Amino acid sequence: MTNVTDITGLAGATLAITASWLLVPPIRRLKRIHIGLLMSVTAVIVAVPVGALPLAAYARSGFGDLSITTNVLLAVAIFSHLSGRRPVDGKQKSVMNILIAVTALVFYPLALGFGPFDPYRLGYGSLGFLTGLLVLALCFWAVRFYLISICIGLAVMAHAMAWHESTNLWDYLLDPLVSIYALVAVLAGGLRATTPPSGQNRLELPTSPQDGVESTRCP
Amino acid sequence: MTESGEAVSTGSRTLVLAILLIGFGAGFVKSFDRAPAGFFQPRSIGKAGDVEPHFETRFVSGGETPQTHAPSLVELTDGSIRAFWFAGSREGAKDVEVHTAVFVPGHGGWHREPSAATRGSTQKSLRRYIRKLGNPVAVRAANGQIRLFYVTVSVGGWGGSSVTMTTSSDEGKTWTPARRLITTPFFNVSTLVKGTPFLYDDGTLGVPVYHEMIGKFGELLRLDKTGAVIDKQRVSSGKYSLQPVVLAQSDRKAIALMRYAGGQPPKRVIRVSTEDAGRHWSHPEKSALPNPDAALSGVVLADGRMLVVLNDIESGRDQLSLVTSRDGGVTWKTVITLEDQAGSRGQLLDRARYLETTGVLARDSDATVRNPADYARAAGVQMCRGAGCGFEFSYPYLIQARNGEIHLAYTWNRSYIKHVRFNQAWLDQRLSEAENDQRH
Repeated sequence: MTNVTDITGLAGATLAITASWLLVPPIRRLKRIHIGLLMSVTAVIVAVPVGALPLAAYARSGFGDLSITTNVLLAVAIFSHLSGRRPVDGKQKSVMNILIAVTALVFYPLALGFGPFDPYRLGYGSLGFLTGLLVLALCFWAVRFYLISICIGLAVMAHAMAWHESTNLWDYLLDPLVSIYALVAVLAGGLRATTPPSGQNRLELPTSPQDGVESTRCP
Repeated sequence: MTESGEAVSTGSRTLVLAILLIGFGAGFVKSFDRAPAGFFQPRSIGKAGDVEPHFETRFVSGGETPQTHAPSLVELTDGSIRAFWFAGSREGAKDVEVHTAVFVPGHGGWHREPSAATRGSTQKSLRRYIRKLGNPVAVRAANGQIRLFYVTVSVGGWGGSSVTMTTSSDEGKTWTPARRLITTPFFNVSTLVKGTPFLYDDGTLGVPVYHEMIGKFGELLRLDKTGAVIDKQRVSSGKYSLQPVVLAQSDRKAIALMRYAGGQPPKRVIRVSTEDAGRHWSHPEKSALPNPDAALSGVVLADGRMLVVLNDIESGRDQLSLVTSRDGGVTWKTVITLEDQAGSRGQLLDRARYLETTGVLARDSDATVRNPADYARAAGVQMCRGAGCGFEFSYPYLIQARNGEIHLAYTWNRSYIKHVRFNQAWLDQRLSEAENDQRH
């Protein structure tokens, strides 16, 4: 019999493979209906068993179960492309990427043995860790960065419900794929911010307050 | 902002707050429900009823596969012993399975049974691609079930390992679908089992594991009664210790011995200790025991003596000894050198001499062996390379049965699993002989 955790894990892998089309620029330029169709067909293909296992299971073998954060971000990305609406503003996305990237840079080396302290252990029911997360989530809620609050809240909820195989809260909050994505996004954002547009002097100041606002807006 | 926009914003704000309250409410309830840390449960097995010393050896496996490795043992409810090991055409091959066999004391040798786990059965249960299987270890859980933990790899080499668990309610005849234990945040890779699992006094299970990607260090998993991981603790850190074995002296006091995987001489078993049931472990230090980057195993007797089996040399695995300590693992005394090919250490034998020697060893190991040349040839396939042939006696696994007898299994030249059985009367006799020898 299939476990619930297998279904949720395979669903996450299917979502990731489906959403990966959005990384291909020519696909992004297609009409929404065509993107939707392509994603639907992809989802069916990867979820249907080929031989012993569905293709999604092979992907899951490699990268494991995706965190709730990744699942939420993928869902938001798909919704955004298919609906043409942008439920999350660029500033919030940037803050989220920085938060994930910084956390990953500190967390993974320590969890993999760089030093005696293992932060991964905190994910096995540490009250202090949970309280810290609650404070963090409420802070982001207070400043209306709802996406971050939702990701944290849903991750804690999914962990309590044993949504995935893992019994460790960290695996619901973070995974290597979203960490790599955030690191690349932060680096790319940093590069864009430090590289002047072609034909312009790097030190050229905005000629009007409006230009300054435009330059900080996320694409 | 328009009125409708404000309403949407307020609605979103309330919804997000509701998600936080529900999520964290459930999270805190789960966190408060978590079992508090347990204490060690030292075994209190007395001496066996029989006072006659006995010591016997035999082979567990019968050469069904070219390569066998990494045995473990568990006692069954009727007093028989079940062994597990992995075997196949070669280590890491797709045909490697977790083999099992049962030994009924007083009723002849070992009887092979259908494999406990295969790559196919594991893949089907886990719904994941499985590339290879590795070390199995077994333990009886508090509810009487046998839990079998074994290494599985989906991608890459042993560094990409994770631990899979299956359970038997009928003494190992049948097994539940496998479950993968999630133990690391990075693609769940690099957790392996080797050391003997043990029970805490609250019925939770301690499973010594180790990490060998980037760093090499020992860890301790704690599993609840359902087999879910509820804690993971680092026993050592750095890049030089593997395969911890926990030896509990009391409910709070224990040492953990680890294989030395560093290159800095002297090569010694790494030792850590705890005085508070594992809440805190001491800084890793080198013990008095030599170790050539090879696994070891041990038990603690009811009188507090520790028994350890290991390759008590600094290079090679051609010597295997049983050693004991009366002072909590500070000083050690050799009880018996179980395998000794020290004469050939550092130099490989030519094939003819190797086959001759190994044939004699096979016959000495098991009186029922009628074809020692076959055993020698099988060993030669694993242990002979272009330059010559060597010996390997490795990966010991030691348990004490309820009747006080001690059972040891280990890899014999990568081609067979060997079983050694002895009682405490033999152990006492042996130690007394050793002390007399020293006096003279």
